[in-house]
Amino acid sequence: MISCETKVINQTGLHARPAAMLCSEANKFKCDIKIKKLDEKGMTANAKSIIRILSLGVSMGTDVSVIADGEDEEAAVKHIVALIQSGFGEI
Amino acid sequence: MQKETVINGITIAPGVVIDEVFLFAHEELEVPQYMVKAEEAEQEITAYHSALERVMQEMTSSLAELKGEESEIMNAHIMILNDSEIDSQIQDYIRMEQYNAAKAVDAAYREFAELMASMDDPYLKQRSSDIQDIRLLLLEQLLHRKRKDFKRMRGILGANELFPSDFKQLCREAVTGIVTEQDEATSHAAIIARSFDVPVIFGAKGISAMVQNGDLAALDGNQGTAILNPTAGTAAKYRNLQDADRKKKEIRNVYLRRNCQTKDGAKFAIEVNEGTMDVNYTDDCACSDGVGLFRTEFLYMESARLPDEETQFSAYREVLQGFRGKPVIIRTLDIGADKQLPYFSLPEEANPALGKRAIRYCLSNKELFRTQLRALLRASAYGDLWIMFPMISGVEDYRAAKKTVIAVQEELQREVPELQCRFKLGIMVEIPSAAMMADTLAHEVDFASIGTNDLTQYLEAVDRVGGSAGDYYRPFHPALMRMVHQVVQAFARERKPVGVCGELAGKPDGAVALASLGIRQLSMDRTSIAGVKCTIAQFETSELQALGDRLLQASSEEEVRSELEAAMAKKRTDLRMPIKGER
Repeated sequence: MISCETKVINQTGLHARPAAMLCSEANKFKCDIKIKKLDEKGMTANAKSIIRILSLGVSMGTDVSVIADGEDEEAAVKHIVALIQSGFGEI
Repeated sequence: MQKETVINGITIAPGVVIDEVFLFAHEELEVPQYMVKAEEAEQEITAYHSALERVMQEMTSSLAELKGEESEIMNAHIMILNDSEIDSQIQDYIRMEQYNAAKAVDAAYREFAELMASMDDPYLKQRSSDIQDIRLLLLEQLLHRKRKDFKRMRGILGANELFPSDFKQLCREAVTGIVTEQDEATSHAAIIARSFDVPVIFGAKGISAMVQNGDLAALDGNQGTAILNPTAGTAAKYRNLQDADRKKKEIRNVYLRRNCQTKDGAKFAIEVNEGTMDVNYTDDCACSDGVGLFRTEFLYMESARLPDEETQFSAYREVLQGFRGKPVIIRTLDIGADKQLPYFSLPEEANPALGKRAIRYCLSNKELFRTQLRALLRASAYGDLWIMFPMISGVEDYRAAKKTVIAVQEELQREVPELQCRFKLGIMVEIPSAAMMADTLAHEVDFASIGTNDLTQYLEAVDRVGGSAGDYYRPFHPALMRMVHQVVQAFARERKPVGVCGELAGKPDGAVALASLGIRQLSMDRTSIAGVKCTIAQFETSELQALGDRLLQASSEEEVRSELEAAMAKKRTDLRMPIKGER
């Protein structure tokens, strides 16, 4: 299992199109992928479920951790983190 | 006769209508509940999955007919339908809790909808109704029930809540207005309701209980109010408002299809800005003289990876064919600074607006640039292609870009000797150095388009995306007026076309200012076209010339603005189409 921390920088956060993009990218990997909100509650969501990602309620400026577990975990974390850092084409 | 009641809601779409109301209500589905034996569980799961499959098929097949936001909504629904967590929850209910399929679907979807409804964020709250919508669709399939058809109903639709899928049960032409109690202005239902092009009011609390089929109601979409059972006096007032509203729409439609010219017949080319997915080019072609700016960024930003040559080729061919031989100006990739790509990171810069963006980026990433140019040149056979380079600072940039184009053309012609490449090459004038050197540039390029937004930013040294100096962003500064004038003259001497594709071109006062400086080619968002055509039609060429002289003599932005105001006084300029979400 590996993980990497990053910050959500796009304006809408993990909502709408960005959430859908994240989810469909996550579904391209075999490993389990989770997004953890780095706040006091530390809620975690399955990155392959659009509803779970949405219900995490991640807004702009939130620190999150991308956690992957499985054979292609390294590529998955790298890809998802890059996607988040790119701002989903919103900025 | 019932008493007149006024209900305040929120405007979703403007306009005024007075008509009879028909009520739209969902029938409550009776969800059967029974225990499923362990050996029957798989059968139930199969039933659920085949219902899911049928809903999916319906959604995918209707996706083909949808465009723009409506197709995005449908895609979001398809994602929810495919959500792995809801799916496993339903399977768990059937296997572990011995629920029948319908009960399991009902329970799981309700839970997720409640989860969303409990969120603080208004956007997430609204997703609750998307989930409820899909719950209904699945249950209808599982229970072989059909949703009630409202296609024969005419008049103003009144409802407690509308789901996105409800709109399929309506006859578009027969609905004259929409009023509901739901209060989410940015919900998917609001977006679809707006596409009906009638007055729409949401958040009219209590309306579904107060009104009955056939009651008279007036909707004032401009104020966000619904008036039930209006008195004779009120009804007369709203009939007048309705007439005025219709007249305005008619005038708008007349101007939309008309060529743009001044009172004395001086012709203007009105072009449209394109650059989003799923646009109906036929409509845009009918009301414009071509595309003045096709932004290619969406091809790069909407996808998770770099768009390949074929993807780009078919997008360019589509717009060229869609505009049936009218000029189409396609701008090469304008990325960097404030526009980033999701799949690779651009270098971080302290001052991105002044950094390696647009043509500068393309010239140092030749492969990316070549792919785009190959797609463009191949598509050039399908229409009148004008290729435009952004962020040109002088002849050096233009020459370097042109050299790449010629190399790509030679390469293509070696591969496909019969390929016909016909195109013009031009530049965006958005850097003051290019404007200062307009005479030299005009000699070398085929055409130019002035990007007033960036030109203002660089000329006045103020960040156009906000920042603390926002007040210093002065789009009507006399310095800009003079600069535009200088560029116009330089291109006129070379007899080469120059237009404007910035925001200024789409505003009635901006368009008049530009016209007064000699611009005859304006490119804008489609919603601005009618207003600009109507405004220009009210001026004489001599009037514009005199105004231009005064603008060039003005000493401050305030003076330019007051000259413009005086010139615009008593001219009708209110035909701009309402933009989504605008109150």
